[in-house]
Amino acid sequence: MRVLGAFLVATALAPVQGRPAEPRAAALLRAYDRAEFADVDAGLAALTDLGAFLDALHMAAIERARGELSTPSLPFVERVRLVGASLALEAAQRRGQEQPAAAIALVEWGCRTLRLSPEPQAGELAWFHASLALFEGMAASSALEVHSDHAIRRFPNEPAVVLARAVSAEVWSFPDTRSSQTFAESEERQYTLLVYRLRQAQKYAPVHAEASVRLAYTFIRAEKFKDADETLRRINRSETPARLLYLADLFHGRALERLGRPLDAIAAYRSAVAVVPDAQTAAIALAAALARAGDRAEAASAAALAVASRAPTLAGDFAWQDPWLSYGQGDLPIWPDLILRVRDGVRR
Amino acid sequence: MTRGVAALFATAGIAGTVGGGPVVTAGDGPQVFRAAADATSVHVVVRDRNRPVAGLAAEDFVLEDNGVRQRVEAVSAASLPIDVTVILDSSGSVAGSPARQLQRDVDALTALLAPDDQVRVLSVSTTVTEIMAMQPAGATPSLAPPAPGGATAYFHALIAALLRPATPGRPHLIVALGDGGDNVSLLDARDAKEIAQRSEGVLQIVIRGRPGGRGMGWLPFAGPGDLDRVEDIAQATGGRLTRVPADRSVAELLSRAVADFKTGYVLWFTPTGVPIAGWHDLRVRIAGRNHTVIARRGYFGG
Repeated sequence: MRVLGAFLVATALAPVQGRPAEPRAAALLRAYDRAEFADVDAGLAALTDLGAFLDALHMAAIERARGELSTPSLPFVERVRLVGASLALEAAQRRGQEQPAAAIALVEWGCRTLRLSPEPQAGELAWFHASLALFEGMAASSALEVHSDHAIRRFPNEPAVVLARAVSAEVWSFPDTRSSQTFAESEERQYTLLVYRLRQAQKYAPVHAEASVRLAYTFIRAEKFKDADETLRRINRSETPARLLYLADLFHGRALERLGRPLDAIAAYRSAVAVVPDAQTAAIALAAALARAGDRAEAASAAALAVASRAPTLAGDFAWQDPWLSYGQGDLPIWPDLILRVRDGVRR
Repeated sequence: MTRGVAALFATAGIAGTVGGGPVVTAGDGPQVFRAAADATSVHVVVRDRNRPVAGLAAEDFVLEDNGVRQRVEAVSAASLPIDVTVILDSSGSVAGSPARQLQRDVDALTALLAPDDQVRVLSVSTTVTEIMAMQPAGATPSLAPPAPGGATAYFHALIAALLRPATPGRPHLIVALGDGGDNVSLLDARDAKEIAQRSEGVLQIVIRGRPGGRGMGWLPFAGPGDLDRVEDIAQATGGRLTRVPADRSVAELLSRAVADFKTGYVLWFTPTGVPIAGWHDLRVRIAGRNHTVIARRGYFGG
């Protein structure tokens, strides 16, 4: 009963009594536990009110822990926690754009619930990685800072979490005002914190490239173009995915232009366009650089190609086509992969 | 000089192959182009107080390139076919029924233009899309659906429009309509101004109302920055920035921009007595008159 009591204590802050419960929460929780994800997807697609769902999920999780055994074992309760937190995370992702406050509350409920276990359980790292990505994508800066702090306490040496901690500082620092004052001057404390966290992340090989790309862009925002150039030149291109390579080349072009090296900048932009041919930002940057270098004919041709009408697509597709447009969304662009890992964690 | 313009441009295609602008040679007989690799054109608007001044001839203009007076040829812009690029903010100004409203605005614009004028439309939201390629105003305009998206890549749209090379004998007017917001262009006002200094187009920026609210999710920029720097982009081309209330109709704004442009003149000259490469400061005035002359501030040669 102590275990069940702890579950109740953990969630005491979250539910609001008196709201109508969504009846499908218990069924969804059961389906998630059994890894029947087609049913989970169908149920989540019908979700309307995240706040009501949180209340219902909270009660359903307690009932599930209480109902299976008269004295639930710790492993069983921990599994219910993981399943409940995972379901909460998926629900938050489905409706996060329309109901951001409720989505954040769902994820925070999951976080509090998981942290009741003294040690991280199997599958928990995948959950934290995905939930951090969701907050990054929502640009929920305050929630992300608190959540990443919780995550780093659970996984102090996990590369993805260390990087997420840095991304949290970066998300906090946006948007830029394009003022004449540089980022480093106008937000000195934030700049210092961001550089510190990114340098910490650079120490981990799996996230070195992404931390370096983000550090370089931070330097560009602070008009430290030489530092940006040096940072980007140290990236191991052969081990860097296309999305990051594109950003590295794009930012390198910006830095090189400001360093008065137009031909090197053009080469960097050409490389970015080659890596992601449909991405418009690099194409426009290349066209502008060519014009500045005096090659007006190729500049005009590159600009015309960049804006050529394409088949209509959903707005979100553009972001995926041009990594710059999802740069500040952290790991959200790899959400499908992240949520698969969460489900795999539950499936085990 | 402004009469018999059709004859003047009979050989425009030849001049256009050289890369520089055409030069009109004056004389007693028919006036024709001769090819000139380093010829430059400048669109100017002349005002007496606030009224456009018509009927000026080449000898009325005093044009100095880096302080050296140049021999110019001049024609009225009204007598030339023009190319118009319209930038429409599809993230805000046409919200609701974008396709139908866009079609109505473009129909209204084409009704103003002569059959041999041309028009092109760029839609700007998260990305920039050419929803109507440059085509004769006399043809039935066909618009591709604008790309949906919540953010605004305004500077990218300006740069894309400014980079279009002018066709010899066809002055290029760019009208950029938006709410003054830009929250996603990696390139900025400085980049756009540098391109404007190299563009042959005249950019008129019209800001309607105020930028829309910020939605959920990441945006790299809070706006375009200092509007003075945005105005610099237009002024570098001989255009200007105008602010109007949000309820002013797009068709009316386009109409005014085209009408103003056609009250101007196009001056051609081949820079003489100055190094071709590098930045050229331009100063244009009317001999013996105190008229206001609005023209680009200079250009990059070479």
